[in-house]
Amino acid sequence: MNKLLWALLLIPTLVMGDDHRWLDDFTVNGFIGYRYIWSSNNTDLKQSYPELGLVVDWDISDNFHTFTQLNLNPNAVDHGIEHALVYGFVDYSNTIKEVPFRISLGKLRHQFGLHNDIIHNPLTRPGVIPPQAVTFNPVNATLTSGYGAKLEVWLGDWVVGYTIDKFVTVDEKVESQFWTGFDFVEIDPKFGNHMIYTLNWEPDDLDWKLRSSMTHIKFNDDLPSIDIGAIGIEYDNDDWSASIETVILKPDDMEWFEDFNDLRFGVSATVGKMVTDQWHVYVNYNTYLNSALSARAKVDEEIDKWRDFNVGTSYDIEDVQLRLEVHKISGGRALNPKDWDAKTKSWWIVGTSVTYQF
Amino acid sequence: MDMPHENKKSNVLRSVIFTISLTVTLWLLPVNAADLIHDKQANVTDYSTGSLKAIFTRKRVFWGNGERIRVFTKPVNSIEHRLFLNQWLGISTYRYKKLLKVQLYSGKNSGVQIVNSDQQMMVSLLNTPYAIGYMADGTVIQNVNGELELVVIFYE
Repeated sequence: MNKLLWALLLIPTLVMGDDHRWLDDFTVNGFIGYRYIWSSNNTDLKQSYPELGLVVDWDISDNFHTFTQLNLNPNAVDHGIEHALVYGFVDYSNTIKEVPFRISLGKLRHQFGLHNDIIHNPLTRPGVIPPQAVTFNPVNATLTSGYGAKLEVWLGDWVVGYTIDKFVTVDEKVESQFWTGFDFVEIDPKFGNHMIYTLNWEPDDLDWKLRSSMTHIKFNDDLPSIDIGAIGIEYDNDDWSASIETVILKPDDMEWFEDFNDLRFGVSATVGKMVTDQWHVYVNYNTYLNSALSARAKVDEEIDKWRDFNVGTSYDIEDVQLRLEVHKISGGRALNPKDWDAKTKSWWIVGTSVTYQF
Repeated sequence: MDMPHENKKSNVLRSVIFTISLTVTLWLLPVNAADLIHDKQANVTDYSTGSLKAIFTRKRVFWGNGERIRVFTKPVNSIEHRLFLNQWLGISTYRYKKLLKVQLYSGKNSGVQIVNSDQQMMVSLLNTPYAIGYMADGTVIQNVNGELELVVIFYE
């Protein structure tokens, strides 16, 4: 990470040349807060911790920019400070030509589902606990970030993207167990073993948003690869909002069409309502089906499921945001493997957070 | 070609004096944005409310000619800002903040620059090429090649 941070500092200096307007184009934002989770089950989702984040953006010139975000999270505390870097990259935007494009190099935050690029942040994540059927908590790095390059091309309201990188792992044993059902399989991240193709629709009026991605990942040279398709659509007219997203996992030995009914998939649907200018309420249901984990890892069938019905609310007072969310859950699929023997038939989570933005 | 050192210094001095004079003048006189801009015989530009929304939420960050858009707003929780959002963008402060935060915290685009008064707004717009902002009365103004232009907005 040190090399990357030095590069982020050095490249702007080289590009900047005689242009001394750079101080005007240097912006710093951040947040500080606390997230408290109570659960009737003993799981890693029950994580209460202070949240501290810093975003530093630098418009070096009209076309070159650096984007850096640091977030003091449990991964950074438990597994090394390099996990505090949410993303840190240099990008080049070309907008003069008829087909605008953007190239980003560095530590990238991936597109995965509707919200992966913003779930690390209490101010932007959907709820206190994001829908686990789509954005699994145990895999909080593999599918979320990596070191590499990303290309995005704008075609009117459509954006086509391609990412190639070396994915990041936090706990290789946990992630190996989550994906393969075994903890003796070693995950070996390499550049090129992780690629993402994206197609998004983002019209200017911002009421609608469609995001889709196809992730191709190979955990080591011996394991077959996995394809993960994700698609989500969101509507927000400032009064009502609704979204639905799904993630489908296809191992290398299965076919998209022939084995479609046997593929593992998660679905999340949310409806929200603005009660006042400051008060927002929402209800979400997310479920994970066909995980087929019990057949491979010989775990209880209840653990093989995930059904989460939750209601939540947020309230903004100037720069302070308060959140409260209640989940009724059945199943354990979205939990860390070490929690698979927990009482998973029916359990509760209550989450709350307070965040100040500066 | 490098400018002679003395010329550089005098240009900087001239800019500083101009900015101070403008600030003092605007501070002393009631500001009427439309009069000020019409005095400069500037052009008028048309925007739809959708385009304006994309610009002020930082979804769109480049003008058609490839120049970067610099956005100036009043403080996000101020009455002037709420009125602007309601009048031209048709969105609440809550949603505006949410849209801006998504752009900012996902590494897509940097945020907006905040100014506290009409006087500061005019000075900032004058001194920042390709900037756009608004006055307390809802007038939207942009800097095009160093000239201020009134923005006419039409509803989609």
